Amino acid sequence: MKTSSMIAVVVALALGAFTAVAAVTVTNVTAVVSPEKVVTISYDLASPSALSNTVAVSISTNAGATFFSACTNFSGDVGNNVTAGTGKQMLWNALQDTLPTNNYPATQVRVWASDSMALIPAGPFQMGTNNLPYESQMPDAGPNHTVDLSAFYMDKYEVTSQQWFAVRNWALANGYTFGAGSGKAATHPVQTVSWYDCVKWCNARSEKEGLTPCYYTSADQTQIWRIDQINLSNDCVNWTANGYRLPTEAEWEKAARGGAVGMRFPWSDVQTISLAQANYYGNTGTAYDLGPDGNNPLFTPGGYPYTSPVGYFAPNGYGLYDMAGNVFEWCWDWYDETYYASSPASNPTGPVTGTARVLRGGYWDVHATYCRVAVRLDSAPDVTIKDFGFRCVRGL
Amino acid sequence: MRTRTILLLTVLAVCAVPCCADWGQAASPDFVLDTTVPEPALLGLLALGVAVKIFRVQVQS
Repeated sequence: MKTSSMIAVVVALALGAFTAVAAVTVTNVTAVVSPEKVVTISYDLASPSALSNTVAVSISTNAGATFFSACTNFSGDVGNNVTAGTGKQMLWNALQDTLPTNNYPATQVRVWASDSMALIPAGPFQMGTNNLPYESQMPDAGPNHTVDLSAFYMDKYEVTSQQWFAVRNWALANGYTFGAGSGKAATHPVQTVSWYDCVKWCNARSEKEGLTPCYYTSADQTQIWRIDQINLSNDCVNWTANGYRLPTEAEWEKAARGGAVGMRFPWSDVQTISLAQANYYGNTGTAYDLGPDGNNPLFTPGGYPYTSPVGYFAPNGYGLYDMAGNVFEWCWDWYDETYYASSPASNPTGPVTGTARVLRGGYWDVHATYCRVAVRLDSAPDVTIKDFGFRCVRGL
Repeated sequence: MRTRTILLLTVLAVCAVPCCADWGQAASPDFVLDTTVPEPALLGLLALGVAVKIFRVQVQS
């Protein structure tokens, strides 16, 4: 290639990196307290997504030195599906939230907005399934049990190839080591990524955005994990950090269910699946698979992998896309087939040790049985095959 | 050599792109938040004060 051509290509890539990310911006935040101690918070929101933004609020009682997110009594233009526009307004009933003292002369509210993450509300859900006769392929998915989770944010989309390489390139220049990863196109999910690389990528994404990373090389949590392959234990994770991390298995399943109860797939209207709903390998020999048989012909052109652009199919009740099919998604937890029999009822983070990590959701070349929301898959964490991708979560 | 330098500088420039954060954010100016709820006794004193005031006004008139 000629020198001028090489320069042109690199410059084009650089410009692409600048233009590919359209920003969500929040401006003109004001807060007015009524005599009833209700705070009216107003703001303007500009976003590439006109209809589907997630808005959150954190509070500072020390003139903005530190913010916390423990307050929850907000109503109005807050939570999921907030439209972009000016003069957005929400109410904070401050009396309903427990604050350490009563008088704060220098209070601030910080409004956060994202068009790429959805709020998964706090509360209990039914995890797993008791084996039905024709679903006996998953004895590890029982017993069905109640799990209570704190609220969290989850990426609406699987991490794309474009996202992967943008963060990876930044990370390589900032002391990280990674495997390659791959993707069919910029808007397709990244794949052939190991669990190790996905976790380090979460840290890199956090650092790149100025957030506090979640993963550390040891339990004293002094050294951010950036290099090599380490089998982290649960106490190497700062679960309250504001950075990105992999979902726990329980978080993934609650998110996948989309608020529906007792459903087989991420949608709430039918117990069946078809290639119009997800990217998987159709097999009408399965009772609940409406097919048609085989790979989705929409995504076979261009050869392997037959992934689909993220967000191609309809979202679930929480606004999450591709929770069934496209790529299996790495979760944090070690895999233990008997874990549900003894798992904590509140915010479980998985077994203490193990040899394989959990994957969820099915992928483009697997039967519908593996796309069910309760199905558990596991793999050694260093495996990098075309089936595996991921998405991130953040705490509030 | 010159080409390599240009490419290296370009790559470094890309790596130095300011954080393209997924979250937009902004904070309000400072405001006073006083969530003190008057105690019943204080409310009682307040009511007494109002009653006395009304009584005095009536007596004067």
